[in-house]
Amino acid sequence: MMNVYLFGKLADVAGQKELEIETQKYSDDVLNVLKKEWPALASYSFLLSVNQEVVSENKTLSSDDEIALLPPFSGG
Amino acid sequence: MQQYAAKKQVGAHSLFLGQVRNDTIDGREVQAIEYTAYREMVYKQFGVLQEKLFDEFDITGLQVMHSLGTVECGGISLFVLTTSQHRKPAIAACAAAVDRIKENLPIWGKELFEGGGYNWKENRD
Repeated sequence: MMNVYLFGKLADVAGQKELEIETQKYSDDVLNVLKKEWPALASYSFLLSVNQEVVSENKTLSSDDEIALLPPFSGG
Repeated sequence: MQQYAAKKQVGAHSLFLGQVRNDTIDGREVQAIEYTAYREMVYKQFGVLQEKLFDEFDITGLQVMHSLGTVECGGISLFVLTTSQHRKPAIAACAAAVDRIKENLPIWGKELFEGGGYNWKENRD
């Protein structure tokens, strides 16, 4: 299993700060699993981060990678 | 600022303060903004941002602070100070820092309305 951290509006809508999913080998698979388990996710805008770096292409994952879904930033 | 000014080569400081404004959204007035952040990622990405700023601009100092938790209208959410020998790099670096902080750091603001309710802020310009 792997944890996906949620922030901002996504954490609010999900009602929790992390989701647990089956361990996936690739970041695209993480997105697919999340969208399957939580169909409403497709209507939200967000970026995926792995180990605190935004990931925009399919990335191979390690078992201890830290994954998060980041809604649009609104700091400052 | 006193620390930086003590370095005799410093000729300029440029300061930006971001303040919480009482916007009206759909007839409801913003009373405060509640800030949350993915802290470890903020520190990591700020390190990258800082390095790039020092590379691109001729500055000798950069200080940034961002509020977390609830900031009432009129309160300060962001502090950016740049220091340089000359004013043009200080001003340009300060402006760039503000833009890049808003664009790249995983910080979120929840606008809290007078009388209850909230809205997740979306940065415009």
